[in-house]
Amino acid sequence: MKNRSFLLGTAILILLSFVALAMAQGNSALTPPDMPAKMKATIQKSLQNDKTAAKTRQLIKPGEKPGYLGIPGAPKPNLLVGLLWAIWVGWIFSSVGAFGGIMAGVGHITIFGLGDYAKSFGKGSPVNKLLTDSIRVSNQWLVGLSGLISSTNYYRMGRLVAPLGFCLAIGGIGGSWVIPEITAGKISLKAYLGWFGIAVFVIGAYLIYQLTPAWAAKKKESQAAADAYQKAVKEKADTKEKGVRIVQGSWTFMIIAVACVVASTLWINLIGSPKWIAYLLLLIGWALTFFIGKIRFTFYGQEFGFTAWVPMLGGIFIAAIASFLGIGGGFLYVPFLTSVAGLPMFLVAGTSALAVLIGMIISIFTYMVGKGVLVSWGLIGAELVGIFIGSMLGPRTSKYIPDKVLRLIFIILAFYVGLRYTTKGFIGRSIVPPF
Amino acid sequence: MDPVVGWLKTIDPILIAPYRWFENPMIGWWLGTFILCLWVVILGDLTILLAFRVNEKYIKTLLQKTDYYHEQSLKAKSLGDDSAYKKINWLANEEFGKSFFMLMAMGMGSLWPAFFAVAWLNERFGQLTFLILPEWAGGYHINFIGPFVALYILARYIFTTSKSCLKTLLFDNTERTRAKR
Repeated sequence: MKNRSFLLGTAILILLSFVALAMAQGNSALTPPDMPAKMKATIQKSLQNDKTAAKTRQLIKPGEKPGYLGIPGAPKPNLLVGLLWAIWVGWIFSSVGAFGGIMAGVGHITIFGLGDYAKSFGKGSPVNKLLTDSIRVSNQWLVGLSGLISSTNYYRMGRLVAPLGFCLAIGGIGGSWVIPEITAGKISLKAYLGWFGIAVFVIGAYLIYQLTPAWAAKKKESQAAADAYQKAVKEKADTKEKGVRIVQGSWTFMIIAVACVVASTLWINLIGSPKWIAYLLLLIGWALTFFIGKIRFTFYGQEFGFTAWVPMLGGIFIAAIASFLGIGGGFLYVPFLTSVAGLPMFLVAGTSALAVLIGMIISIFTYMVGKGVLVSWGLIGAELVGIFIGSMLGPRTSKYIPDKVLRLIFIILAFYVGLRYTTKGFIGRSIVPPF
Repeated sequence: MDPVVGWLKTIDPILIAPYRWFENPMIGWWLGTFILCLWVVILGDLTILLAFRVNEKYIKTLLQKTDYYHEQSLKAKSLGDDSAYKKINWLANEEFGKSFFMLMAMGMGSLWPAFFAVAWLNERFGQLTFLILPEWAGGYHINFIGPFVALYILARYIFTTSKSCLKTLLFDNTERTRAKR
């Protein structure tokens, strides 16, 4: 099967997902009610519970101006603040890279006041959980759009490996709907903060590793190898063949496996019960990858290969983490594909972008269609503008700020944010100011 | 309520105008939304054009390094030196990381108008539903998002094709004129 057919199939899947998204939001018989009604229903649910009713009545006062998601008296994210914060995020993306996603998450949680507002409803409050889910999905929109933009570009450049994309998708699709299915409406802001903080620590540790002598030595050694090969004699194999060519792989099992996981997603989101059918379809899809065997392909005349279930398993875990936190997909796929699958950079880039995109679509679909989670479209639009402006500034400032200084700044930030969120989440209060 | 609603109200008369060109409200809705999608595509493209003009040199430098390491890694692979391939490939991924996030952030420029358009459509037509399957087949309705996405893809396709045709027409004509002279 050629890359074109695979990408066409993916495009149709994306379009059907959005059509089903709109379809589900419009028909209350199948899915949760449309946005304002969903918010009302959540507030009603809070009022029916003695533990959460008092707090809800205290915080939501009819007659006050509607704020975030139409809640009377809720914080109304200031567009200017949102824009400025997004410029900061865009500047980070264009200066250092991955840490921008963390800062986008920090914006939704802290800067716009949504995290503290959600937390104020108290543990167990349905409003707390809906707001937490809204924050998670807002993070995912920003992360997932990166997958959309880069997938489109890499498709044009022919840097996608269809079978690898399929195997990642088989795992990723499952990981992307199972997590929202079992956690949406159940995760309080406190728990989310704690896990988000741990993810920030992991990224901070990676940034620290990049400043160590071991890293510098590895970079020097690799640079020497690259310079040596610059003078090397032309490769023996035919390098005129620059595209991806599949040499070995079982398409039958692969296609059936993809169909099973996609069917499981549609079942759980559009039909709902019995849920065991969705889980069964998912498990069948995953199990089939063990029968696909080894997949071999050539790229630039060189042969590469991987065992189908390896990216499938990686896809499950990475998509699950990205779906739970709203960040981290791209950051994890790249080292996974490089070290486990041993793929060249050109292919890792395009294929991981596609995996991030598919995971995003499924996860957002499940949160917003299956669970009726709400987002603020205008806020995301303003953030995109800010990120874009920030990306214009990064190249200009990079001349004046050395790379090492930048990384040091972000390491300090990562540890501050990680400490604050982890302690706030797991022990109930921050050990760094503001307390 | 969406925080951009106040700002969107100021441009509401411009956005709603095409919806009122026809007596039939459904024709008006489809035409108006298609024109909205065209606005979104054009604004997005202009933003991206600006981005690449401003950052052209920086992007070229980043991508040159990435391409260089990629080429050397494949040379190592072709000569059977897996150890060197892994090292150089790792370096290529490090360089790629910088350009990836940079290009991604710039790419946000092509999508920002779509979210404002959706916010405006939500305010104006949030309660609108379209029956796509009759009651006997399930009675499924859809809201504005599905048609908006479909029209956006159509608008992007038409705009991209028109751009290529225009470029070919203008460029070919310019070359022919130069050749005649």
